[in-house]
Amino acid sequence: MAKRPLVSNNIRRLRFNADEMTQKVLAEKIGVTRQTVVAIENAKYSPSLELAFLISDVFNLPLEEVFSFDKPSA
Amino acid sequence: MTHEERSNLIAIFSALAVIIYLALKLSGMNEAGAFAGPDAVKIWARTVLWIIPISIVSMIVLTILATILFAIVTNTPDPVLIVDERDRQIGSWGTKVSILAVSAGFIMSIIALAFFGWTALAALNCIFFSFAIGDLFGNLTKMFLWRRGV
Repeated sequence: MAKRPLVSNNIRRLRFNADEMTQKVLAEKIGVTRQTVVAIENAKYSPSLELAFLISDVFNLPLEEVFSFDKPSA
Repeated sequence: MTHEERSNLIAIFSALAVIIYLALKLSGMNEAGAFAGPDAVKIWARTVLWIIPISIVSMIVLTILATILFAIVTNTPDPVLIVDERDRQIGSWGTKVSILAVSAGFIMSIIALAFFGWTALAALNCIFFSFAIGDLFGNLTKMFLWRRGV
């Protein structure tokens, strides 16, 4: 249930590059709680595709520059 | 702590209070011989029927009070009341655990009625407490997932 997600992200770095945007501001922009932003940043929660697109949109970046998929080795 | 987590924490304490109160009340009534007569099931039902609306109302009141108290303590006049996709996903896990516990209690009651000579009253008690405990387990699961991750 609490296994490590295969989706990682650069949200923390992107926030700092965006005038040190706070987690609270990002949460308000995408319509979630700050705790959900914290969970996504710490890879404790993989967002839905819709939420992932919303986050990318905040930073004006394509999805693959915000999120990356760590393909499991066979 | 989000609004959902706070509400969940209140639900845990409310469920615990209801379980303890009801267990003490019903065992007290049982010792006093209230369930010895032919109207045992009717008396039990009337007692339990009162508990359901009281527990719902008390939980609503406690949630409102906790939200106001939290807003005062943290100096946030407009607390965030958002329920997002993570909350909903965690909520669905909690519901699954609750249903599992209720189902287990129900099946156990049926088996006990069929093979172990339980009375209808004992089976009703088992079903009722499995609802209360199922609700508690569901809320504990949600709290665990909020803290540890989905």
